[in-house]
Amino acid sequence: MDAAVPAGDQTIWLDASSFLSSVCNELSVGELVHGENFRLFEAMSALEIMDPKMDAGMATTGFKTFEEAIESGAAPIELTIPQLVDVFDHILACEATWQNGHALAQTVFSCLYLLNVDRTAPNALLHAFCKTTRASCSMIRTAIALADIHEQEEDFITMAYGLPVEGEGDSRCLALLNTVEEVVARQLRGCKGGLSTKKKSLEDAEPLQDDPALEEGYCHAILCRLRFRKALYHILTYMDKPQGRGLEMARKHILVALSELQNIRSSSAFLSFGQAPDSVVESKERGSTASGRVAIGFDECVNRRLLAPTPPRSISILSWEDTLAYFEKLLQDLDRICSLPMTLGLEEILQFVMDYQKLKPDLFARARLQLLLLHDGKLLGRDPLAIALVKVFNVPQSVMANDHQTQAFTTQAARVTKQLLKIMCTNTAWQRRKLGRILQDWGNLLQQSKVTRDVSIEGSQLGDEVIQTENMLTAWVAEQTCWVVRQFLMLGFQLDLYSLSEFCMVYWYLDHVLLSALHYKLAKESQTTPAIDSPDSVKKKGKKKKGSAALKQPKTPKDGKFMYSVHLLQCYSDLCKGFIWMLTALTRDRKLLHRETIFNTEQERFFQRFDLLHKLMIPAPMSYFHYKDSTSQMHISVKELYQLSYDHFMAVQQHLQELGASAAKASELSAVSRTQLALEVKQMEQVSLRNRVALQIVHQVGPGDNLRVSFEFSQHPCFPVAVVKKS
Amino acid sequence: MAETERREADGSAKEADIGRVEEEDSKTSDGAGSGRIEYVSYKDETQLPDIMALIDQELSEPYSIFTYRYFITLWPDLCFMNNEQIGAVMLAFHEGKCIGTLVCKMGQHRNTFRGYIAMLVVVKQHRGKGIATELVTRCIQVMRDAGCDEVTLEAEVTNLGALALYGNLGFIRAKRLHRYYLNGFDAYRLKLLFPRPHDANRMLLGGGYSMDPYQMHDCSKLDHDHDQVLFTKATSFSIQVQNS
Ligand SMILES: CC(C)(COP(=O)(O)OP(=O)(O)OC[C@H]1O[C@@H](n2cnc3c(N)ncnc32)[C@H](O)[C@@H]1OP(=O)(O)O)[C@@H](O)C(=O)NCCC(=O)NCCS
Repeated sequence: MDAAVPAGDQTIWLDASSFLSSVCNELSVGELVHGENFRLFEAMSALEIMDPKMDAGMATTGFKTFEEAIESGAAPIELTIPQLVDVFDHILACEATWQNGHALAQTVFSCLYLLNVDRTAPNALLHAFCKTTRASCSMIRTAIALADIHEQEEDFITMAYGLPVEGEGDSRCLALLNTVEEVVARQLRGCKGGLSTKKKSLEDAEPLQDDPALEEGYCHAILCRLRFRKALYHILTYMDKPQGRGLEMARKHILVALSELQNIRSSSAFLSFGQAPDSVVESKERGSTASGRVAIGFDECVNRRLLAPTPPRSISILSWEDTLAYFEKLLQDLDRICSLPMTLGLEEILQFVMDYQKLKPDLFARARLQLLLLHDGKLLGRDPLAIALVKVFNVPQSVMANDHQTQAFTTQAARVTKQLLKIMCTNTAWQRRKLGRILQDWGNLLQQSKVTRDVSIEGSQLGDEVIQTENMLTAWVAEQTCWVVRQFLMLGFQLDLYSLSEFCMVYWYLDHVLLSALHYKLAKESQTTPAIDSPDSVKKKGKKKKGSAALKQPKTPKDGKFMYSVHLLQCYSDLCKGFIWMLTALTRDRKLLHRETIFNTEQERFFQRFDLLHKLMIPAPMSYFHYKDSTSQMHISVKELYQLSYDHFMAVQQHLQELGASAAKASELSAVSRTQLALEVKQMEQVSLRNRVALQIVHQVGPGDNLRVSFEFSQHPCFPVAVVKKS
Repeated sequence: MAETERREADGSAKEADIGRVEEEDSKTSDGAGSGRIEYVSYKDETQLPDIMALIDQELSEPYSIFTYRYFITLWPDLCFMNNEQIGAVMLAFHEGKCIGTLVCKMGQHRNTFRGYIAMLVVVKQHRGKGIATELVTRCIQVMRDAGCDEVTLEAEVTNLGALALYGNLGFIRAKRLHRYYLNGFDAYRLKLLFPRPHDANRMLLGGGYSMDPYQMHDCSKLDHDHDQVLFTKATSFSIQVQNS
C-alpha cells in the first residue's frame, strides 16, 4: 500500500487499525455507520459476499476453473460422432438462450470447447463448428450493441467480461467449414452408393463411426448441422451490408437455413433411437439435444468469476424443441426484414415496424431491423432523415431554401423522427415507456411548426407559400403526434396494463385520438388548411358548431392512396364506440361490477392514465368531466345503450369491407403490412360479430337474470370479446 | 446512527404513527388460528431474523442485510434535507409468531412525495384472510396522512394474488418492466394516486364544460369536430392562469 500510493508533501501514512477497532467497539448491535451517498439503490445493489443467493462466484457445484475442468477430462477432444452431435445441439441451445437475454458466460461460453477453440484443432469437425459459432456470436453481439435498442441487464448483456468472444482467424471459419462439409458429403455419397462402391468410398474417406448400419444417419445428422451453421453465418454477413445490398442473398441463405433446420428436426428420430422410451419422453422436455442425452463438455460454473457483480440470474438452457422453434422464428423474422422494399416511404416504414412488432420478433431480429432502417443515421442507409422528411412535407423548394424556421423545424423533426423509429424497435414494454417520454418532444415540435414566420421575404408570392408550408408542417406533426399517442394507448392493451374497470375510459380517449388522427390525416392529404387553434377561429366556430364542421370537412383523397389507413382508423373508432356503450350499459345493468376503492376514485385513475396526454395540444386534452359527461347518458335507457353499441359494432362491419378493399389495393405497403392488415380485418370481424351476439343475449334477458360478463382478448390484441355466463 | 438521534429527526412523528400497536380480529377465525392478529411496527434487532426469514422464504429476489437496514433505520440524506427518506417495517403477529410483514418507505422522488412498498409477505397458512390487505391499508393510510402524493411498488406479472390485492385498493398497472426480476419474469409498476382536492390542473381541464355526446361519439363521418375540443382547452387555460 505504502509503495503503491506514496505519501505526498502534506500527507503521511498512518496505521488506523486501533482507531477503527475502538470506534467499532462503540457501536452496539443494529447500529450502522452511514455514508452520505449510500441510499436505497446502493443498499439494494450491495452484495453479501459468500452468500450463494447473492454472490455469483459462490455456486458450489461444478469446476472452479477452466483448467481444472480440462484436467479432469470434462472436455475430451476425441469425441464419438453421437457425442459430437450432442455438443453441436447443445451449443445451438445455448446460443438461443443467450439471444433471449442470458449471460454469455452462462450460455455459449459454458461450452468448454468454445472457451479455448485452439485446443479443438485436432478434431476438424468440432474445430470448424466452434470457430464458426464464435464468429457468428461475435457478429450478433456487435449488431445488437450497435443497434442499441436493448435494456442493459434485462434484455441482453453486451459485456463480454473477459470471455474469448473473438478469435484470431475466425474469418477463415468458412473455409474450414467447407472442407469438413465436403468430406462428410463425400462420405454420405459413399454410403448411398451401397456395396458396389464401398471399396472406393473406403479409400476416399474414413467412416465417421464404427457401425456401418448407422453411418448414413450420422452423416446426415452432421451434415445438416454444418450446413445450418454455414447458412447462418452467410445470413449474418449479408445482412450486415449497408443499404440492403445483401438482403437478396441473405434471403437465399435463409431458405437454406430453414430447410436444413427441417433436416435437423427430422434427424431427432434417428438420434434418439435406442434411448429408453421413458427417459426419452422425459428428457425431450428438459434436454437440449436431439438425442435427449446430456452433452459432454459444458459447465456453466467455470466462468462464475467472470459474471457481472450482481446476484446470479437463474438460467435454464432452452429445451431442444424450444431451440428449434427459436431459430425457425428468428429466420422467418429475418426474412421479413429482408423482404422490406427499399422504396418504402417514411409513413409505410413506420407502419411496417408497427406491424412487424405485432409478430413479436426477438431482440436480434429487431436489432437487425433498426440497423437497416437507420444505418449511418440515414433512412434505409440512404437519405439523411431531414431529406426524407422534406420529401414527405412536400414543401416548395423556394421556401425550403429561404425560410430558416422551416429549416430549423426540419432538423428538429428529423431528430424526433429518428428517435421514434428507434423506439419502435425496442421491446414493447420499454417502447411504451419511451413513447410516453418522447410525447413532449412531439408537442414541442408542434409549437415549433407554428412559430411566426417572416412572411415578407421576397415578396408576397413566397409569403403565401410560407403560410401554406406552415399549415402542412402543422398537419404533419399533428398527425404524427396522434399516431404516437394511439400506439401508446393501444400498446397498453397488449401489455395488459388496463384493468376491466378502466376499459371504458381508455376506449373513450382512444376514440378521441383516432378521430383527431383521422382529421389531420385527411387535412394533410387533401392539402386543405386545417383550422387548428388560432384564437379567432376558436371563438367563431365554437358558436356555430354544426355549420362550420360541414364547411371545413376536407376532401377525400381521390387516388385511393392512404385510404387503407383512413379506413383502419374508422374501424378502430367504431370498435371503440361499440365498447364505450357496451361497457357503460353493462355497468348500469349491473352485469359488470366495479369495486369501490377506499383511497381514491376513478377520477384519479383517469388522471394517472392520461396525465402525459394532458400535456399535449393535439390531440386536445380531455378531462375526466368530459368523459363522465359524455358517457353517463342517464336519459337513455340501458336497452337503448345496448342498441347503440350494437349499431357501432354493425358499422365496423361496413368499414371493414372498405378496409379489405383498400388494403388489397395499397401497393405502397410492404408485404408484411398487407398480411397484417388482412389478418386484422378477420380479427375485427370476429370481434364485431361475437360482441353483437353477446349484446343480443344481454339485451334479451330481464333484470332478474344473473348474468356475468367478462372480456377476453381472444381475437384481437386490443379489442376483446364479451363472454356471457350465468352466475 | 444512534437511536435517539433517529427519533429526533423530522420524520419520527410519521414513523411513530406506524408504531401504534393495534389488535384486530382476523376476518375469518377458522383453522389456522382462532386468535387475534396483532399488527405492530418494527421495534428492534430481535425481530430482524424473523422478517428476513419470512421474506427469504417467500420472495424470489435476494435482498442483502443492507436493504433491510435501509428500511429499518431512518437515514436522512445528509446532502439534501428535503430529500430524506423514511423507512418503516410493519409486522403481523399471531399467537406470538410473526406471520406477515410489510417493508416500505417514503420520500421525495423527483417532484413528488412518494410512498414505496418494497416487500409484502404473509405466510401460506394465513393467506386469504385479509392480513395483507390490512397491512397494506394501514401502510397507505400512514403515507397519505404524511402527505404522500402517490404510492408505488413493483409486482411480478404472474403474481395474480398481489395484483388483485393492489387492484382492489385502487392501484393501476402504470408500466410494464421487461424481465425485471432475476428469474426473468416481467413486472408491473403499480401506482396509487391520492386525490388532491385543490389540484387546479385536474379540476379545470375542461371543467364545467358539457359536451353533447352525440357530437362526440357519433361522428361516423370523416370529420371530427375539433372546435369544441379547442374551445374547452382555451377555457381551461385561461382559468389556469388565474389560479397560478
Ligand atoms: C400476496 C400476499 C401477500 C397476499 O396475502 P393475503 O393475506 O392472502 O392477502 P389478502 O387475504 O389480504 O387478500 C386480499 C385480496 O387479494 C386477492 N388475492 C389474494 N390472494 C390471491 C390469489 N392467490 N389469487 C387471486 N387473488 C388473490 C383477493 O382478491 C383478495 O381479496 P378478496 O378476498 O376480498 O377477493 C401473499 O399471497 C404472499 O405473501 N405471497 C407471496 C409474496 C408476494 O408475492 N408478495 C407480494 C410482492 S409484490
